[in-house]
Amino acid sequence: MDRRTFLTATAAALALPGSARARVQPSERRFLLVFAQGGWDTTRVLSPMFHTSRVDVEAAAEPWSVGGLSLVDHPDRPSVRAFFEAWADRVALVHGLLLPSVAHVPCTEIALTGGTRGQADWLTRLAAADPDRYVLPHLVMGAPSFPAEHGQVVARAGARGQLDGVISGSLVSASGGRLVSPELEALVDRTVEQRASSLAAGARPRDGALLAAFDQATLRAHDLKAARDVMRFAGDGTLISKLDVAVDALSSGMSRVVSVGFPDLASGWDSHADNDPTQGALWEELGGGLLHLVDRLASTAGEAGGTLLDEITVVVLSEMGRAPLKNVAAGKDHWPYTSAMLLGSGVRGGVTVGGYDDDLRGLPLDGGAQPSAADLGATLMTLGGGESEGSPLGALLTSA
Amino acid sequence: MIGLALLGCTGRGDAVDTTVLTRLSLDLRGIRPSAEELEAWSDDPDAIVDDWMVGDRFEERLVDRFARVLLSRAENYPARDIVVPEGTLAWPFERAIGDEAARLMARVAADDLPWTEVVTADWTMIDGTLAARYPTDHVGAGWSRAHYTDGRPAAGVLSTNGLYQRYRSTPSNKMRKPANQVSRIFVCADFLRLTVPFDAEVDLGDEDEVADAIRNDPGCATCHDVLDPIAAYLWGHSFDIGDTYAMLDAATYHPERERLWRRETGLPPAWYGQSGESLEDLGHQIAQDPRFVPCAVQQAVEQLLPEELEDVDALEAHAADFADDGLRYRALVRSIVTAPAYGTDRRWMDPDLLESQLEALTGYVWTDASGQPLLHAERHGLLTLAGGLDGETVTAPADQPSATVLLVQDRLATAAADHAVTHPERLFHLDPTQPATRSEVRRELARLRGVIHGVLDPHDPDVDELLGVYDQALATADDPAAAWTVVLAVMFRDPAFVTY
Repeated sequence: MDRRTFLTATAAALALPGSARARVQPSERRFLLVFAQGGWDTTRVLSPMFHTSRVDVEAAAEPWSVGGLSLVDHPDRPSVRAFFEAWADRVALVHGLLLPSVAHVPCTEIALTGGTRGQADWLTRLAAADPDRYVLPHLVMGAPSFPAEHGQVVARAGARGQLDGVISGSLVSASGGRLVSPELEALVDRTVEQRASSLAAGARPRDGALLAAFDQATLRAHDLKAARDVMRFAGDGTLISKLDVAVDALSSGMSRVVSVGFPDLASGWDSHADNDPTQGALWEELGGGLLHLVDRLASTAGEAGGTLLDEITVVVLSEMGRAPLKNVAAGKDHWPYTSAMLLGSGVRGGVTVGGYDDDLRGLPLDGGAQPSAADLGATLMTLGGGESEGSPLGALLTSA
Repeated sequence: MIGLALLGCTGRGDAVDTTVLTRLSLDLRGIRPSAEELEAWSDDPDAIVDDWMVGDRFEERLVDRFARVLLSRAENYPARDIVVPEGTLAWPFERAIGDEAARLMARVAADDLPWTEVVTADWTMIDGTLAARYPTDHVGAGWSRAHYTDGRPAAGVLSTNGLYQRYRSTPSNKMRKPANQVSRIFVCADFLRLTVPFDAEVDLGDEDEVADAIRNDPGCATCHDVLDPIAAYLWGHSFDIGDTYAMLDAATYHPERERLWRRETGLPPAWYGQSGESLEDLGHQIAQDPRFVPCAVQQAVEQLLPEELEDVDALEAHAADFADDGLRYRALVRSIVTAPAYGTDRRWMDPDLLESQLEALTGYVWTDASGQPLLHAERHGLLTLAGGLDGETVTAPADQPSATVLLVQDRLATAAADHAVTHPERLFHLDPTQPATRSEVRRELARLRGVIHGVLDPHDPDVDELLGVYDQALATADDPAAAWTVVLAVMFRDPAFVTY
């Protein structure tokens, strides 16, 4: 089966009524990144710091142990409590990750690629490992990504699922524009695909890569339109609606990787003023979103006899933490140490790796090394079957 | 001078490689050359570049480019909730804030002023949207040169409100964020690209200890000894982002805050070791910095001829051409687009360019119900879906297509085609809603192939392929208008149209 035939077959499977969960490519581990944009305050949920006066804690917060994890409980965050009560034994925490900068842009790049040298992010690299298997190898919804040379495998859906309006054409008609009938649209598509294919085949070497990318993207776009009746990208902007789209894309074989930004604004968690109301509300929405997500993953059949939770690895990450103490505006400024949360396929649950000292500085692992984003990335690459030099985190976090 | 070899010719009278002329026109004007321009090129090929670097289209294309350098078309300007009256749209104001500095740079280039004006000018660019909120002498609704009336220093982009709205500092950041951007934008030295060696012994929660480390720890001081004095120039533009309503005073310059550096860092103003007093001094120091010209060259090459970024000799040659002509930006552009390498590689079309050429050809702009151009908007629009950058989560445009990029083009192409058929006066020589003979259709297709793809040969075999598509569509829909819509949609989605 050549690539053109394969993708068409994929789309056909997706388009069959009731087969949005069609078994398309069952063998690979898939990944879902939830990126908390702007820098979360880990001390509000993930890293209890009640033992030191050098880190500000909320008056109503209390230390809490559940499922092998030490956490922070707060009466205003029932969804966070519900999530960990249900799933702490599947969650692994990494504390004290050092992201050596204090600015959002470089920290984001470091968090997702390990450095600031223009490399592709790890999850894009995994999506690009065998791109022909997926219509949208790496689907991105309002999140950062660093495609580098893999731009053709990274597809953006918009923070509010605008892609849905593009696929359906509703974004055209809403503005007074008109599309053509399905029969004529098929004629246009067919002509463009033939044109792309013939140009790619006859391109001079210098243009070959660009025209080949155009040819492949044309096929993917065709398949995406073919799946319009069974795969929806629209959402109401809430985290839950984005996560539902993500699960649909991963479970249907549409994507190997989905990245979800939360909230829509890149500066959402950036609480330089009024830290606690800002962080508290976001943690509560994140908790509710994760509970919804994992409940759904755990209750949906996977491809190998288990559930989707056995096949999808969820990574929850932010580009930085927040300072130990509040500033004059009751906010918290940037902090280079942060935490990450992993759960699902291949992750050893109920485990905490790393830690913080009394000043909220990350502690080195037993072997003496400071946990880094590169270590986390190496772990993800190992889980995804990609090339990796391994990392001390990998052995501690993974179960397979 | 534009070389004949660049145009794919060995001498006057040869068939021209219209691909290169099309690239020139799109890069310089954002539109395709007309068939007449393609046919007339050999009259004076050297004049083409200069002719196309004149007028509003050239300036608008530059605005798009400089907005990318500035990363200024973001959508989270904090003033939106304060200065946009209830019941009015926020997006025109956000776009205007973001474009102020880019338009100043573009006007310097378009008016053939020395490039140093971008950091020394006593004027800015203001439109009616900004004029309603900013203290300026602007008159009218459109963009024009204007002066702030609050007595701020004359320092070009350094004196625009937009720069400080885009790169907002916090009390603990102490104006370092805009200072770094000034360094990045004008001398291509970005402190954030440096790996920071964090000293584990420094108590980062202790402000006094941090302040001491910044001054005395070699790992910290290496950057802060340079960055903090740059920041010291900028305090007149400071405002408290922790206080929402303090955003109001972000529109006004505050001379009484110029000396806040004494309290905040204790380091007096200086540009890479060269001391000064005012923002005007900073502008002149930047203009005299030996990195100022090479940085402008690098940024222009990055967007017009990225293949040359690693070619030191080529970069130096462009810088020399730039300097020899009194730092007129046109000279820099001319140097780049007439380089032998300019004609070699096809490139992917960014959303700005796709929109501008489709609008020029058909009159169609894809907007939402409020009139906001969808390819310009991210939060509710299609900017990054179409391959653009939002300046925050996406900081570089797509250089190759993905499925979603092509889907956006698909819908845009079809809607533009439909618009062109229902408003035929712009593109058609025949009435596309009425039946026509096959020879009339073929003749029109051959003409459109020249207008849309730059292929002037009436015997081009692709014209016959398009005629076949027209026939199939007509047989399916029994409607000439639908058949023309299909043919145009195919042409607008063709690789010959979306790459250049």
